[in-house]
Parts: sequence; C-alpha cells; structure tokens
Amino acid sequence: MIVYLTQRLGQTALVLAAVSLLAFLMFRFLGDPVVAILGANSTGLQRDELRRQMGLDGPLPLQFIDYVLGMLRGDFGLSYRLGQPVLRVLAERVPATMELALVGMAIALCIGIPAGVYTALRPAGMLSRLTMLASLVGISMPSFFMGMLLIFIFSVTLGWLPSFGRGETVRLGSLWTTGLLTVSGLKAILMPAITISVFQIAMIMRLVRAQMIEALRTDFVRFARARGLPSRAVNLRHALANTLVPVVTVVGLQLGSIIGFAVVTETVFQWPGLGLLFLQSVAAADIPVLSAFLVFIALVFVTINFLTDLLYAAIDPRIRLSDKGSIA
Amino acid sequence: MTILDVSGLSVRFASQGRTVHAVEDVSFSLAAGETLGIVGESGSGKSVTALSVMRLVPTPPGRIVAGRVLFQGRDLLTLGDEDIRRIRGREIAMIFQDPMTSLNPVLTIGRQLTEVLEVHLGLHPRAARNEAVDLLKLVGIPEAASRLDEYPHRFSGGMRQRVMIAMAVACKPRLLIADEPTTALDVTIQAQILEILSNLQRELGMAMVLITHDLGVVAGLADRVAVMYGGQIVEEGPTAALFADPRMPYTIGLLGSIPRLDRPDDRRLTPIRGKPPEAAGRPVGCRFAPRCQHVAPVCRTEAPPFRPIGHDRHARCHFEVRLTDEGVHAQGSRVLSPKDA
Repeated sequence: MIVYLTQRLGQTALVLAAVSLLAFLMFRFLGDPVVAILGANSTGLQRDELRRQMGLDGPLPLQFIDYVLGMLRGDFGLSYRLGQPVLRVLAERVPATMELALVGMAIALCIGIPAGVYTALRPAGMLSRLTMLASLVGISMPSFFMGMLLIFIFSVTLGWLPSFGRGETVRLGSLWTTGLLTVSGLKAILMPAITISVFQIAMIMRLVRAQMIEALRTDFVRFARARGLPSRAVNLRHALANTLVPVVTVVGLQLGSIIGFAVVTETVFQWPGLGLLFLQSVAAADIPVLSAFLVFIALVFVTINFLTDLLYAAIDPRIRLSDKGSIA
Repeated sequence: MTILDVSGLSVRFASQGRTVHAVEDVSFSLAAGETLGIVGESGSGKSVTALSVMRLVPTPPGRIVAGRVLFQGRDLLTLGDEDIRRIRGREIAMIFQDPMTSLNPVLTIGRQLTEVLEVHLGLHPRAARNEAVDLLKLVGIPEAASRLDEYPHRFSGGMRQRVMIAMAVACKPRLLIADEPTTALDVTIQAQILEILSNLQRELGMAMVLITHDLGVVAGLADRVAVMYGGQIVEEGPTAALFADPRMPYTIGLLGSIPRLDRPDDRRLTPIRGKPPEAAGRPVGCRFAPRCQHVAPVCRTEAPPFRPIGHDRHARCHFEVRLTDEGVHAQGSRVLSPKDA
C-alpha cells in the first residue's frame, strides 16, 4: 500500500508540474503582463524597468522556477482586473463552488442510486418505465433551460426561493465561508444544486441500473438466493456492492467537472463561484487568475482521482495491490 | 421415508416468441439420506429441474406450468416467496458448477458464511463466526480461523468449491442439490470434492440430488439414477441395476459411449448418432426417435409412456430392450419385443 501511495503521489506531482508549466506559459504567450499593467501608452524604458523589477528579464527556466516557488507559497500574483492577490480572489470563490458541487452531487447520489436499483429490480414496472423516460429528459435537457425553468416556477411564480446569489453566509475559519448554515443560504443553494444534479441523477441512475442488471445475473447472486438470504441482502449487500467501482469512477470524474465547469449554472443563478469568476476573467484577459484557475482545477481532479483510487481499494478487495499473491 | 417427491413437473421458457419445453412431465422421488444422480447431456433439463425444486427458475422467461414438488409433505410450488426463502439454504441447499463465480468477490468468505447462519438460525455474530470456523474445518480448509477474513480471490478453485459447500450445508439441510459440483475442477480435485460431499452426507444425514453429465461420478455416489433426455426422464432405477442392464436405447447408448476400464475390451466405443434435440423443435413421438437405432414407426407418432420395467425401475420406451451377454457395445444383438405396436 505504501509503495502504491508513493507512486500515486509521484504521478500527482508530475501532473501538477505539467499543468503549472502550461499555466506559466499562458503568461508568455497570452499578452504581455507589463503592457497590461502599465497600459498601452507606456514607454519602452518604463516597460524594461518594470520587467527587471518583476524578474521577467531572466531566462525562461529561471522564471518558471520563480513561478512555481511563488505558487508553493500561495503567491499567484495580482489579478489584473481586481488588483488583489489572486489567491484571495480564488479563496473567496472556491467555497461557493465547492458547496454547490457537493450538494448537487449529494442530491444526485441520493436519488440516482435508489432509482437505478429500483429500475433494475423491476425492469417492466410502470414506475420504472416512467423513471427511465424522465432520466432521458434529464440527460438531454440543457442546464441553462432547467435553471430558467426553476427560476420561473419557484422564484417568479411562487416566490418561494431567491433567483440569484448565495444568501447569507457564515465565516468558518479564515478561508471558508459557508451558506449551508443559514436559512437563506440553504434556500439559495437549492435551485442551483438541483439544476446541477439533474444530469448527474440521470447518468448515475442509468449507470447503476445497467451495472445492477448485470450483477443480478451473476452466479454469486443466484447462490445468495439459493442460500435463502432475504431479497434486501441479496440486492444490496451482494448485487449493489458489486456495482460500485464504476459508479465511484464516474462520480469522481463528474464531481471534478462540476467544480471546474459549473459556468452555465453559476451564470444563470449569479452564483458567486469559480465559474462566474472564470467568465469575468476571460472577458478581462485576467491571466494570473486564469492560470491559477487552471492549476486549481488540476489540483481538484488529481485529488479526486487519488481519493477514488483509495475508495476502489475499500470497495473491491481484488484491487488492493499490497495483497500477497493468492494461495493455490 | 420419502423426503422429496416430484411429480409431473413441466417448465417452459419463452424465448423470442417461441415456447421452449425445458422440462416435461418429470417425476422422481428421493428417500431421506438417499442420493439420486441425474445424468444427461447439456440442455436435457437437469439444471432446470433442480432450479425448479428451489423455485429459482428465472421468471420470466421461465415458468413452471405443471407439477408438484412435495418436500416433507409440503408442495414447494405453492408456497409464498417468504416461505420458500426460509426453506432455501436451511432445509434444501444447492451448490453450483462454477466455484470461481459463485462467491461474492467483495465480501469475505467469513461474512458470506455467517450471513446464512444469522438469517436462518438467528445466531449472534460471534457465535456465527465460531460456527463458520467449524464449517470450514468440516470441508477440509486448513487454518480455517485465519482464512475467514480473506476474500474469495485468494482461494483456488477447489478451495472455493469447498467454501461453497460449507456455505450450502451451514444450516445442516435435509437435502442438498449439487448441480455439476465437479465439472469445473481438475480431476484430482474432483475426487476430493466428491469425497467431502459423501462424508458430509453421511455425517449430516442429508439426501442428495447429484446432477452431472459424468457417469463415473454417478456410479460412485448415487443410490439411484435418473437419465434425462430432451427435458424428460427416460430411465430411472437403482444405480447398479441400471448400469448393469440399461433398457432405454438412450441409456444404452450413453453407457456405450464411454470407455470402461473394468472390462478387457477390444471393442470400439459406440457414440450415439446425431445431435441432441433442440428444445424448441422436439419431435412429436419419442424424443430420442431420430437418433435411436431401434426406431419403429410407432416411435415417431406416439410419445412412449414412462412405465415400470421390472423391480423398482422405469423407462420411457415403447419397447423392452434387452441386452445379450455381448454387453452394451455389441451391435444388432438386442431382442426387440414390440408391446404396443
């Protein structure tokens, strides 16, 4: 297990280094930061001076090392657009997005897995057919439309839920703000989280259903039935447990992509998260924020992947790599 | 005392708009502690018969359309789902052919053993664990206590088959149905597994239905044999009598097509001509007629009855086929005596 963990950590470091390089190169090839800071009217002398001050006149590898060292200290430079340290800008936005993604995924799992199991157990039932139909709608409905529909029903018509923003937030520690502890925060997160979860529910449900149907046909499920185990034990302990590896894989990847790319939903609900920040930064060519964003997303994916691998080992003993060979 | 009495069992499968008669009018009975061997080719209905007794025929597409399965006087086919579940694993246990796929890969074998004990006998987890160790010892697994927390992939095929047997007999069932228990195993392991089965049977006083296509296995273990062909039992009787003097041409062919070491024999093996019938397109008369060497016109038009032939024996044939001293390999040496024709 230790060897395995070290290997994984090594791979993780490699991925992050590669992404940092890309993030760094953005500075070189996407506009000149010196011009961006001093403005188009500055003289060549002024620019050279600033370049020297910022260490931008040295050889590229040296600059990259500087960049990485800065990154490790949490220094991603200043946002061109906001004039604030990039880290602080990100730190303000990350909690909103993370909470949205986690709540959305939690909803998706709570509905998707039971629905998948149910439709697998009663493939011919009326409710199963309806659920499958609904999931088709869920998978094909664009999230901006879903968001607007929810806003129209629950904000405009019924007036129950706020149509934008995050509601009141509470500060936890120095970095994190949460909207999950206030009523207005909970109300505010409901619609965006549902919007995000609709596609995920449909996908998780279909995946669980397909895996479950497969698992129910296995010899060990038949043997479990032949031993007279109650159907709940057969269906959940024996069948469902064997479907979880692919489910965990997909959920991990999806969680990463919700965190990284919830742009549309965040825009529709004016959710003060990373997606909104990303759009604003692209519009303003705010390279430091964009490159830090890139590194952050890479970090998220790498972390999730790592956790998924650990989960595999917990779910399926055959994946535990440190095991001694099988005994003949 | 009769423990299992199956009569008139018929099972159909709906397959692509056609109805397949997988099992048709199967009857047999089994006394407590007795072993019945059911032999036949693949697709002859042996496994479906066994699954019907357990009420494990996948429905749909399968459906038990007729018959009675009396187990200790109760008709299993009319029991509710919950009642039959209580019988499965506790009073009637079943083991399957493939030990590699019949154990759940994500649960320890200890868990898979104890869950049966907890469900059926209401044992406390700790008591169940102790019992599980004893069960593993019973089927000859070394260092049983330490292997309880291991997962199936750490066990070899023969060991897994032992584990499967331990799980099946955990609640000391009255009847064990073994569906091709040795088919997937090496020959050396086969003998060990068969020995374990016969020891367990003696110790626990279980009756056993042993399904196999291996006549050698049946000869060694079974008190009685039922030969299945095309979804029907075509001959049934005490093992020794049936092997020494098979009556139904299919049984004769089956015995003639395997090498025998117990006879100095320079004769050639005689395979049965043709292919087994497809379950969907079976002939009107005798199922075996298209392949039978002694076929007569009546065989093609009229299904033969399953009738008594001599003491304690039945066969499904219009004719009484007798063998001469030449044995089963001799050609054209049988005396046919048309009865109904």
